[in-house]
Amino acid sequence: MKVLHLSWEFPPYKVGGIGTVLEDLTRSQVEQGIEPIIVTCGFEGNVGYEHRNGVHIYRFDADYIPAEDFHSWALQMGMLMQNKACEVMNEHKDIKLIHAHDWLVATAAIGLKHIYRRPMISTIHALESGRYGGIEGDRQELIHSLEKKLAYESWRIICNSEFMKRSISYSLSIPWDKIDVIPNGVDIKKMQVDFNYDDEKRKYALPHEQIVFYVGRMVWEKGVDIIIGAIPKILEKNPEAKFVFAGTGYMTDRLKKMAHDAGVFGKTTFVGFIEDDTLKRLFRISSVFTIPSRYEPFGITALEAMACGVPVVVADTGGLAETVNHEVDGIKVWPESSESLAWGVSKVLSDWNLAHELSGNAYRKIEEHYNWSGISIRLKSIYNTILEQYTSSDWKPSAAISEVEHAAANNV
Amino acid sequence: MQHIILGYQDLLAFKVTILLLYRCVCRMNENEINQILLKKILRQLKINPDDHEAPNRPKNILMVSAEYLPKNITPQALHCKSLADGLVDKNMNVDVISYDPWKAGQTVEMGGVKVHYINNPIKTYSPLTWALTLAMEINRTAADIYHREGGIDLIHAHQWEMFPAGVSLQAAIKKPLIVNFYSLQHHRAPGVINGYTDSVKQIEWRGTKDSQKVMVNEDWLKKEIINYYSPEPKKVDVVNSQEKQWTHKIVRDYNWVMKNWNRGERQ
Repeated sequence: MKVLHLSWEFPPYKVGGIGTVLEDLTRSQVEQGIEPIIVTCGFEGNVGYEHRNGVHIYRFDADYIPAEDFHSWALQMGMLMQNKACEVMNEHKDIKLIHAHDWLVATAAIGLKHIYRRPMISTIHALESGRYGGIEGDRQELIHSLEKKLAYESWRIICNSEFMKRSISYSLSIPWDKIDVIPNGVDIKKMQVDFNYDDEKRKYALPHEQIVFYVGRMVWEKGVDIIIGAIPKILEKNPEAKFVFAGTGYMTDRLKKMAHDAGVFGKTTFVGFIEDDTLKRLFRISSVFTIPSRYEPFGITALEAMACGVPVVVADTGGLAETVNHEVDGIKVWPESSESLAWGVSKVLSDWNLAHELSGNAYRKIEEHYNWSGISIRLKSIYNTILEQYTSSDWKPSAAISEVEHAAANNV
Repeated sequence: MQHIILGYQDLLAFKVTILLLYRCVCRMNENEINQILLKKILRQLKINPDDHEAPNRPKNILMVSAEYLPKNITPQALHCKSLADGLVDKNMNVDVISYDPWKAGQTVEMGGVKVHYINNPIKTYSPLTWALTLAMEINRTAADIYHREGGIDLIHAHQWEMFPAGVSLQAAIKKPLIVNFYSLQHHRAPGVINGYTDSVKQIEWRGTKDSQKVMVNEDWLKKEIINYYSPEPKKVDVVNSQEKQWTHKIVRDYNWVMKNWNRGERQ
């Protein structure tokens, strides 16, 4: 079964978590007998076709799209994506289903769905209303209405947590039973890395220091300012803590100033964007990984940390609240509370036995519940249900076109 | 056969009569009279006089224009309405997709032309974002025509707002695309250089690049398009709706485009 995935990001180009999730998902889909085809942006000349581990990847040139803002850039990118996807669909006549990922590909996915009359399914990884705590202004209205249209046009909607299911249902006015929850997963093998512990740790901290690690975008919704607020309190109890922040975003400079004003800048290190291997090494030299998000649809980095054997301290919010079992495989703290976060981090830093127990339980949980093969089996069963419904429906390409396509597919 | 012979005999008699009559009254020469007679013969035989290039002639035309009579009274709307009516007179099936929020979802038949009205469900904040999101609805409506109503042989997109939808439709259904310009972004915002105007210019350029024929109303606009976007000069045609038999000229262009398309000689 050939499935066309539309996503604006795919490794090596990564912005949020969609690219990583799609890379792991499609790899596991190949094992389940699905032939995934991805149409995505190509940057810095990385365009054209690539066949990697059974996955077809088509990249179109997204380098030189003139635009007044990100929103109109995204819409023009959608136009180019649709044109590329048309070429791909004309080449692979037997594509059974279109799978769209987030609002950026909505125009392309909806256009393709109607022209080719193929069922379209969408995964909504996050919502605009959640990213900024509401919908205000023209630009947010545009994204919100595109999300709504994408959800309306989708045969079924996939999201990664019960929290997201509630959010999609209420924010986009979508019936409850149209939404399926399938969590993201982690490839434990992929998280393994060979390195020298001492050499690696020396890059970020002194040998006796305990690293408290954060990775993610430096934006309001991620709540990095809450960690900065908690640092003085953590240092009172654990003076050997060292705080390492990885990632970029519009708040980076403000966060550095906050740390400076609080007199703890010397205890922080901002490393900016890091490659995958650096991330894996950083996880393994950390004593605690923390995510204090205000809004977190799922929180894939928590799973990655758990797969690397690091105890996690997370805000009791969104998908994180479902992933972590308090004091069993992680610590949950009050959202938007530096005091509560300081309590959680200090608790793990001061009690080695607890940290060991939490990380052990978390690793077992990842193995059992968040492995990609189980996830892709669930997704395949949803694909099959949709195709059964599609086959028995009247909504299909006209007979003449179907015959031509059928003949072409047989010839191929 | 008998009917044709009888008809022909009638026409011979008719020719003699009007030959004398026109020579005396209108001073027409025999060639002009023959033209009139030829049309009458063909009409009697139920053959369309413009059918001489029938093998390449597109039957089902899809026009996309944001402006169309009676909602809009603009040169573009008037041009599109006259063109659609002219094509129907030449026995073509014409579907027009046009924007009217009050009639969205309706298909109204006007003088043989089927006009499908659409709305844009997305809340946009500029003509650019409006055009790029409206393309979804154009695709959806065009797909219904394509799958339900006997297909589309040729797509004719009017003005840059319709080009994104036209280009993506062409890429999907593999039918020739003609783009019609009424003005250029270079003239609408002279001297302005910013992300918005650059985006519109990019869409206009893409229209000239991906289409098989570019149509304009005036010579100076043809020169400007060649100057700014560098299409092959022979790809750009001037068709002025004020001229006599202008729709005939467009049909000739359609036939030419179809002929090249069918031969696989895309420009």
